[in-house]
Amino acid sequence: MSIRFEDVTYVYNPKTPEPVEALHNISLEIEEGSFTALIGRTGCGKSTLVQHLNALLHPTSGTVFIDTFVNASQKKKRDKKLKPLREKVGLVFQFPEYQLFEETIEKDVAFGPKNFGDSDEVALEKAHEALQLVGLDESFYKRSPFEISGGEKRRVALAGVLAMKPKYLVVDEPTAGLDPLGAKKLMELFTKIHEAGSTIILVTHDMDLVLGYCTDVFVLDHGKVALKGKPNDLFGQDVSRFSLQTPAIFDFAFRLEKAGYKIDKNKLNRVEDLAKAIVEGRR
Amino acid sequence: MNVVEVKDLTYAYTEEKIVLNGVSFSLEEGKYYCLVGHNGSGKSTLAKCLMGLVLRFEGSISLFGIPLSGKTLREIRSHVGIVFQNPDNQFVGSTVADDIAFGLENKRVPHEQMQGIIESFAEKTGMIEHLNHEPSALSGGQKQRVAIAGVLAMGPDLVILDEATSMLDPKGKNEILNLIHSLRKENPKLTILSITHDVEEATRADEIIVFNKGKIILKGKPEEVFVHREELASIQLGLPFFYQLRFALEEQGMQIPPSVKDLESLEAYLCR
Ligand SMILES: Nc1ncnc2c1ncn2[C@@H]1O[C@H](COP(=O)(O)OP(=O)(O)OP(=O)(O)O)[C@@H](O)[C@H]1O
Ligand SMILES: Nc1ncnc2c1ncn2[C@@H]1O[C@H](COP(=O)(O)OP(=O)(O)OP(=O)(O)O)[C@@H](O)[C@H]1O
Ligand SMILES: [Mg+2]
Ligand SMILES: [Mg+2]
Repeated sequence: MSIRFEDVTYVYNPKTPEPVEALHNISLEIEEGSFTALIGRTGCGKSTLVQHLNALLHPTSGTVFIDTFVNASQKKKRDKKLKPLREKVGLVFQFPEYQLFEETIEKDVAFGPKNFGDSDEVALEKAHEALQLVGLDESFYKRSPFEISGGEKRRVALAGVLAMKPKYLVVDEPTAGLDPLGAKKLMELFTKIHEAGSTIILVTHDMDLVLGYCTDVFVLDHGKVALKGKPNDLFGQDVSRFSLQTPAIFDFAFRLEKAGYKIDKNKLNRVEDLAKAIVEGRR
Repeated sequence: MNVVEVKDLTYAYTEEKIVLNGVSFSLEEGKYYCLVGHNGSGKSTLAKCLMGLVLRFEGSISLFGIPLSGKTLREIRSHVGIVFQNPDNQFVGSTVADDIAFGLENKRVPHEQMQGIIESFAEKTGMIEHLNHEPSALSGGQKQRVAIAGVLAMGPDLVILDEATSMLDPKGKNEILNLIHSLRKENPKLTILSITHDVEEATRADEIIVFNKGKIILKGKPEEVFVHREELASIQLGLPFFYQLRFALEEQGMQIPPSVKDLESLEAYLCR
């Protein structure tokens, strides 16, 4: 089981004078059990791609396989299999506002579990548990999800998807707008969910997160897959032509290597790893 | 001169919770400030107060020496530009070009100059190819670029950026920050207040203002602020890469002299 794109092209406004081809003949496989990052310059197609994973968008041509679900062009809107797909694939949008709609935060987060068959009581319990995971206490339960801060909105949207415990957790810039410790805790939460068996698909502009947490990475460029690999291998090469940056840890390691340090970049993922490598490299 | 003068500002949306709790500070003309603080600490609310979007506050706010009130709002706003946290809340035009034009029309910029200004700022923010596109049908980072272009094109004297670059790719973020720094060179009176969670951006600020639960708890130069490692961590904040690495090295038992103040000097020290 996995997610597979076969020759997928997606065009916005196809029958107008200005069609926009956001994805161009994409073929890729996201392995089950991986923690996969999708990265690339502004407008390269990341958000468009992830919206294919729970069939919010259908390919203009080509096919996306999500386990046994087939997302192909002209998919009928009222597909019976859509509901199980949405239960399996949880997507948190880049702009969380568009995901919020209920009058209280707890109802908003409980919506998913309820929609997929839980009783009110169980759904609320799951909602409270998810809210706690994203750092929102009971003082938020009865408040409106529209009258809170930007980072709090993102946390609510995340909780809404976490409450469903999806098999595939797809998060589009989940740390944008979170305070630094909040972002770190969230990444640790994803790691825990990953270790418990879920597949995580992360869209991000933060290269340090890719290096620190992900098992696999795809670089998109102008709607195509430009590179793929393991983060530690990928960042060994120059990625600036894709509007990306070498993670700070690697960048500094390169500088020290020029001065004669020996640093094993296969084991370099966090700041602590770099500090250890430096101390050992000096001996 | 102080462009912004805030005294004892207190504000609450509802009776249950005070969001700004006796905030006092001033911003000097021409400087670049970063405002940092945990989610829900009151940063965007402060920005709303400065823009006169909420007026029922206690305390006083003056901008450019003019006390903020219903009567002075128009005049003050003509000098201030804000990029909101969600760019979609900003768009008024049906195309990128219209959107940038809207602000210029409001400022009564003569028509014959407008096209040139629109193109120049679309170019500077990398959106020139999207001039005829609908702002709402752009990618997240493209929306942020348009919102920034619209505000900078108006030539404000004070720019408030509320997480305006949070969704830009690394190179794009640098380009926008460089653009802002170059505009400051052209107009030394331009004052920037950037609300951000990006600590690397904050290292480039003249001063950092640190918010916690509706109060200012620290204000100073980056190197004065980031030495408060434990305090910052206790209020959900992090450290720039240099400080993280420095502390991690010290935890490994390495002694690093205080003269090492940035990555360059750390590199030099380690390779000496
Ligand atoms: N609703 C839409 N209608 C028309 N074009 C669109 C729409 N949404 C996105 N696009 C265009 O499709 C391309 C891919 O956009 P997408 O949102 O997938 O990019 P992204 O990689 O997520 O970028 P970012 O990092 O800025 O969020 C861009 O050129 C964008 O302008
Ligand atoms: N419209 C509103 N009605 C009631 N309370 C609100 C409203 N908007 C924000 N709040 C509350 O006010 C507090 C401050 O919110 P504000 O948006 O100023 O925070 P912030 O520092 O900008 O946070 P973030 O980093 O998440 O954007 C938060 O506790 C929030 O829940
Ligand atoms: Mg996107
Ligand atoms: Mg805010």
